[in-house]
Formats: sequence, structure tokens, C-alpha cells
Amino acid sequence: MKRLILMVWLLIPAWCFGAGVAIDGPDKLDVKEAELFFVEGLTIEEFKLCAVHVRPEENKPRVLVLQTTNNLPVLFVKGASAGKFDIILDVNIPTKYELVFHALQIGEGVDPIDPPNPIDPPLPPGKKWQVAVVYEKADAIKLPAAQRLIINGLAFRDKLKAAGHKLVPGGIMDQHIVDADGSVPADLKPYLNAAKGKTMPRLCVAPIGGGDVLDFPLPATEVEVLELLEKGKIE
Amino acid sequence: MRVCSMITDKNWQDVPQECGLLPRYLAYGSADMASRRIIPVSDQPSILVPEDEWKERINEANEYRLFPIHHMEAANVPVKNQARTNFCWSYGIASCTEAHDLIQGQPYEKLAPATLGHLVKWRNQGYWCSEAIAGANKYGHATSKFADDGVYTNRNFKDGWQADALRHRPLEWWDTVGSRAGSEKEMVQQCVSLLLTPSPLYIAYNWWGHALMMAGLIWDEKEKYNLRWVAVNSHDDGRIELTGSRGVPDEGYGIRSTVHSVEIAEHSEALAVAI
Repeated sequence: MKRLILMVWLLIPAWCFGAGVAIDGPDKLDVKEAELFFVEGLTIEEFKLCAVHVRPEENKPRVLVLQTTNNLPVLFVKGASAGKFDIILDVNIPTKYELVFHALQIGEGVDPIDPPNPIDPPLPPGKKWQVAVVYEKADAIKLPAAQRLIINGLAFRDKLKAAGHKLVPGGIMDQHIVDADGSVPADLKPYLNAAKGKTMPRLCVAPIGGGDVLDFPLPATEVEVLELLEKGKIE
Repeated sequence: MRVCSMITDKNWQDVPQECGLLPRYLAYGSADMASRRIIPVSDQPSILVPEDEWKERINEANEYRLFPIHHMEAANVPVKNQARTNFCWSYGIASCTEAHDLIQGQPYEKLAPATLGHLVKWRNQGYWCSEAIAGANKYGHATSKFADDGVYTNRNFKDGWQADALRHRPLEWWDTVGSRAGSEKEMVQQCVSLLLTPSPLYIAYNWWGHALMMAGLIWDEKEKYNLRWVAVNSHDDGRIELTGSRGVPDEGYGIRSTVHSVEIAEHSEALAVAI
């Protein structure tokens, strides 16, 4: 009887004020795992008026607001790096005004983030290099034209080859690239590790024949990339 | 069944009808599409290129050889021939995966579209693009070392093709609004923007009953939207061009990411890098 009274007491606010808004989804995801989170208590029209935020910003999972046609407001969430995050739905419509939080743990712990290099080390001049570019594909269209040509243009790859350098096989890589097992590809790992936690896009180089990976912010033009590789610095 | 190398609003009725495509049944932006890892372009409007920038961006992409077609031509990708099969739905995806791998700097590996035939129980029949994408994401295409072009059964496949196929999978796709849900102009903008990213486009034409790959654009002010669409066909012909409303696909899916498929033995030099 006591339980029944308690249940009725708990349900009174919902009856009086309408059902609350909630984000229905798992509270844990693996890194790179994607999941649909259903938003309850909102119509699709109301949902379109809401804003979605993720805190903290750094290494946050990708969250896409899906425009569904079957009246199911949905968030598509894909983990990027390990850490604890809050998905925040900012409901600000005439009938409802609230912030809805959903705590999400991505991966097991927090990924160690390499401190950014305060000063990029100069390259020894006159050497020949294995070259890779690590970038965020989703943001690539917003890069300046000259950098897009470095990343995707065959003209730049030909110039690199003509200068005696070598593009790493598969070396134009999104920072989230995986192999068939869903793991970081072993052959690309040194380059991805060098670029990890830094502002994309990055130019990563290692001597032909082997050696440490050095990485730099991707220079602004093809000419500057070749200058860096030949002379060890951009003048 | 080769088609002419330029399909226009005037000659499209001369193109032989195909039976490789089942019309789209899943809505743009629906949860069903999201579960197949196909995300609507409108979820990231920043990738849309304004129309007043098309001329400059398309000419630049052709000058610096940015489009998927340039990467395929530079790698001497051989033409594909689906022969009398209705497997265009698989040839189109295989071409997109190959082109995306080339753009990422991976060495060229020819894929065998027949190895996705299990999706239609090894029958010679057409299929939906959305289901073909879901199947390719999960199972992949084996390379042509394991199977030939132009077949639809697994009778002569070499052992190990399933494991090899897992190395050649797309992972995520963009969806375009399509001819039914949006206007032709909106569809054109989405397709142009995706091609400029550059993303190979898996496309389908309902008038043709055919799926193939869109691989580039040419700015031509004599044509509708000032565009000539460069596609890669699978009837032993390779590059073809389309113009006018016939060139605007009814469905278009931009490949966003693929599995890294380089075998470590293929470039042992990279392993000399400090890990």
C-alpha cells in the first residue's frame, strides 16, 4: 500500500505538467561506436526547435540531429575519444523550457592527450621523407582551397614523387580511420599517434628507410610543404 | 550492352533499359537510413558549396585533378563489365570503394562486385541501393583475385573470399535528398558539394533502372546547371558523361569513410617508422 501511495505521489507531477523530456540511450559507448539516442516527450516539430550541445567540447563525440519522418526524434551519437561527456538538449519552446542532460561515458577512461608542440622541431634538410597527412574529413570542405589541393589533389602527389619523397600507402587519412577489425591500423599508428590531440590537419613525416615521425601543422600551400621537406623549414 | 558516351535529354530514350535497380523505399533522413550508417547531407549543411562558387571550385578540381575520376585514371583502373548480370547495384558500390581508397592514397586493388551476390541469394536480380550499402558495409567486396566480373554465382570463387571481403568495406555514407523528397536543384547542389569534397557518389537513375558511380564534373555553360556529369559505368565502357535533367541522379550516396585495407606486407618500409 505504501508503495502504491509512493508511486501515485511520484506520478502526480507528470499528470499535472505533461510528460518530461528525456534522452533514451546507453550511458556507455566504446570509442568509435555509434548509437541512436531517441528523444522522448517531444514531437518532431518541437525537436527541430531545440539545440543540442556536448560538453566538454574537446574530443567530444559526434552528435547528429536526425530529421526523421516517422515522428521519432533521434540523435546519432558516435564516440571519438575516451572521456566523460554530457549531451545537453536545450528545450526552449512555448510549452516547455528545460535543459535535458544525458551523461555518457566513451571508452574506459580518458585518453591521454599529447601536449601540443610549442615549437615545431626543424627537419634535417636534404633528406627524403615518407609523407602522410592526418585530417578530419568532416571539416575538410571548410579548409582553404590550397590545403584541400594538398590533401586530395593528384597534382601535389606527383610533385612529391618527383622530388623523391614518398606518400605513405593510405597516408591521406582521416584521424578516425580504422582497419577491418575496427582498430587503429598498425601501419598508420605512428602517424596518427604523432597527430593525436593536435589541431587538424597535420603533416607527418618520417625518413625513408625508417626513423621517428615528426609532425607539423599542414602548411598553407603545396610550395610550402615541398620547401619544408627540402630545406627543413618554411622561409 | 555498351551505352553512348554522352547521354542527354535528347538521346536518353535510346539507352537500353536495365533491371538492376529497385526504387528507393526508405525516406531521406529516417532512422532506418541512419541504422545503415547513411546520414543526410542536411545534417551538416556546412559542406554545401554555394552555387556562385561552383564554377571556380569545379575548374580548380579539374586543374589540380581532385575528382575521383582523376584518381581512377591516374591508377589505370580497368573498366568493369557486368555483362548480362543485373548487378549494377554492386558494381557501383565497388567502384566507389575503389575510388575512395585511391583518394586516401591506398594502392589500387580491383574489387569483384559478384562477391556481394549473396545479398540476392546468388540470383541474377536487381536490388535497392540502401540495402546494397548496408550489405557492403557489413560484408564488403573481395578483390578480383577471388572472383571474375560478369558472373552472379559463387561457383568459381576462390577460397578465402569472405575474409578478404571484410578488408574492403565502406563504413559511412552521406545521403542526398533525391528526386522524390526534394527539388532537382537541391539535389544538384548536394551532389556537386559531395563530389567536391571529393566523395565518390553511388548513384541511381530510375529512368534507366541502373546504378553506377558519379566520379566528376565539368563546367560547361552550354548545359543545364552549367554541368556535365562524369560517371563510371560497368558495361565495359568506364567513363561516360550525362547532361541536362537526365544527368541529375534520382538517388545519390556519398562515401564518407572506408576500412583501411593496405596489407602491412605491402609496405614494409612504413613499419620501419618508430611505433
